[in-house]
Formats: sequence, C-alpha cells, structure tokens
Amino acid sequence: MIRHLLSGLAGAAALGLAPSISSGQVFTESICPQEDHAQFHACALRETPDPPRRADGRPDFTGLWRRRTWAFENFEAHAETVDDFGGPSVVVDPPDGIVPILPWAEAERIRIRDEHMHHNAACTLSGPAGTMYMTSRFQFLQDEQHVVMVGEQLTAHPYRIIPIDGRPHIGNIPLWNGDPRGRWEGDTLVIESPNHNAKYMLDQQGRFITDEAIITERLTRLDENTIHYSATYEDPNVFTQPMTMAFAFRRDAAQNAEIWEEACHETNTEQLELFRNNGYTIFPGITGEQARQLKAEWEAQRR
Amino acid sequence: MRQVGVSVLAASFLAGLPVNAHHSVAAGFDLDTEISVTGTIVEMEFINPHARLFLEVQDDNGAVETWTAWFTSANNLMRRGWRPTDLPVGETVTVTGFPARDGSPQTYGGETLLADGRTLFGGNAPGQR
Repeated sequence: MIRHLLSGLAGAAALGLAPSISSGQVFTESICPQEDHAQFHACALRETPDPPRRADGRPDFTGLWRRRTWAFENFEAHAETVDDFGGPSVVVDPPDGIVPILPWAEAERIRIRDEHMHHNAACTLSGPAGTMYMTSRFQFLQDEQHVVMVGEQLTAHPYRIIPIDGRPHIGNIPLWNGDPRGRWEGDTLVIESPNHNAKYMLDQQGRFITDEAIITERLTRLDENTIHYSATYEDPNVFTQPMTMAFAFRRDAAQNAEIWEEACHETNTEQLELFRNNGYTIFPGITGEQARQLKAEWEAQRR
Repeated sequence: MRQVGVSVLAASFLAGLPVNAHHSVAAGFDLDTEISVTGTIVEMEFINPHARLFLEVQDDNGAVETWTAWFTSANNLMRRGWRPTDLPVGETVTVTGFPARDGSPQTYGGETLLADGRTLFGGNAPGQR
C-alpha cells in the first residue's frame, strides 16, 4: 500500500492532492543501460559519444540531470533495506566491485561507521566526487571558461564552479569540495581537485580517504540524455590500488523541472542533537599523517 | 485538542521501505519499531532539510505532550503534492513512523492519515530520491 503512495504524480493524483511539481523522474532513452554500473561503464567506453555541442564545438553539458546511483549508502553492492535503497557496486576498477581497502583502513572504517554520524547529518559537503553521487538533482551550466553544477536534494545545497580555461589551482587551502580545474581530453571533461579536506565519508559504511588523495573525475556526454561519469581515487594511505567508480547521469525530462533552494540548516540543530544523544559524533576526518600513524599502530598490535 | 496517544504497531508494514538514507535515519530512530501517534496539529513547518509537524498528544491519563513528527524535505513534500492547507492547525491526524532512540517524543514519519481519510507519505520516494 505504501509503495503505491510513493511514486509522485500518479499517487498524489489518486489521493486528490494538488498536482505534483516536477514530481518524479522522467527519463528518455539512453544509448547505454545504466542500472548496472559496470555494464554501463563498459558500454560508455565502447560507444562513440554523440553529444549536443556548443558554438565553440565543445560538448554541451547544460541541462537538468539526475544521478543514477545510491553509492552514498555503500560503494559496494548492497541490498534494499528499511534504511537503504540498495543497488549494485559502483566500483568498476577493481573489476570485482570490491573497494581495495588496506587492512588497517578496513578496521578504521568499522570504527568510523560505528562511532560517527555521516557528514551529511551535519549538513557539511561531500567532497568533489561525493557531491556528484550524494546530490540527487543537478542543473549544469556552461560557458567557455566554466562548467557550473548547481545541486539540490540529499546534501547541503551544493554548487561547484569548475574553471576550464587553464588557470592554475588556488593551492594550499583545504576545501570541502577541493580546488577543481577542468580540461578537455577530446569530448571528455576531466576535473582534478587537489586541496580537499577529506572531512567526509565516502559512504554511510564509514569508508574514507585522506587529504592526500588525488581525485580525478571524467564526464562524457554520450548522447542527448546521458552523461558517463567516473571518478578515480588514488590514496595509498587507504587503498591497495587506485579505485574507480562510475555511474550515469540521466537528463531529467520532467515537465517544469527546476532546482530549488534547499537550505540544509533549518532543522539540523535538532536532528544533530538526536544523533548526539545516541552517542554519535561528527567525523573529524583523517589526514595522511594520521593515517600513517594509525597504520603503524595497527601493524604493531599484530606483530 | 483531541485524543489520543501513542501506540506501538504490531504489524510491521513499514518494514522494507527505504525511508531516508541520506544520513542514516537509523542513527536517530529505531527502524525496528513502528509507532502510531494521534494528536492535534499545533504547527506544520515546511522547511529543509526536514519538514516537521508538531502535535499535541493526550495520553490515557489526560496528560498532554507535544510530539514532533519529522518528514523528508519540504521540497520533496511540495513535489509530492503536500500543501500547507492539507495540515491546518487544530486538525487531528495520525502519523505512523519510527520512534526516536533517545526516548524523546519524536517520530520519523512514514504516513500521515488526515481527518478526511487521505494519507500523505512523508519519507523519501523512489521518484524523488
């Protein structure tokens, strides 16, 4: 019964409620099926992109987009539960879909999961790549110097401004979403974002990176309705090898779709209190230096 | 203000329903227990990231307690068709959801049954997550 009430316009109309405003997902066809991330990734790499183009000849990313993953719950394949939407692994490299985490970091992950609330509970940002799979709704804007990503839903009202005109990084300042600079590799927009503070979890299972991680994102507009997104994490403090995640963005074709303000602070003080009352604290992040110390301590305990 | 109180539901009809995974509702609410809270609307706040409904709830002894029912974001509720006029001050409604782990009078709302028999869903929906 409840499920029938969930799905936007049809359910609302049946209840006699006011018509929903851009109530649900309306997607058109895509060149690659996107439900299985590994299959989508393979298809996207195989196909020749045929994107709409700007007057300058570059692919045009503008429009309203929805991400097609619940990686924020768990990078790896996970079942639908009362608290998770579930889905396949978003990890495409290693090809087994398992996060290549070092043993000490796996132990630390479990501690983080059990002791800390997810950063989103505190309305803080999710990092350069995390923003892309945490945020549900996006509007992408673009000119010759920038790609701008404005988001809404399930995160702290994020925006990203990606300069693509070759300017240098800001440098030497730790930022929640890093210090992004984009460049074109053919039809693919490549974004590198150093200088991130890493005070966020990768997912609600406590996975993490350090502030020394290198994050490289790639966006390719495959066709009118599909963006192939991938992000590679390189952090030898935490992982045994570089890890790449990939998923699709689909164009939101809902009538009158638009991005709304979603301030993430109006009731969050009270929500935070509830989490604190249950013993959870805000995740402070782990620096590269702290990671090396924790790793040494973990290894010493096992000698 | 009208009746009546809080009850723990025997049936687990919310089980299996993804309610709101954006920062793990389980950290604040007991997802293994479902309660039903009936009370009179004091105020409905359409705000983000979580809308909330304040209810005056009277127990069997006549004592009155103010409960807070949390929902998904105001934006989600608006897109789903919720409107402020659906929840007027003074109307009696029943919210079914998950109780707060710390024992405070709060619930994470699944469904809200209105006086006219309509039911509004307050969690995250597949079309809106």
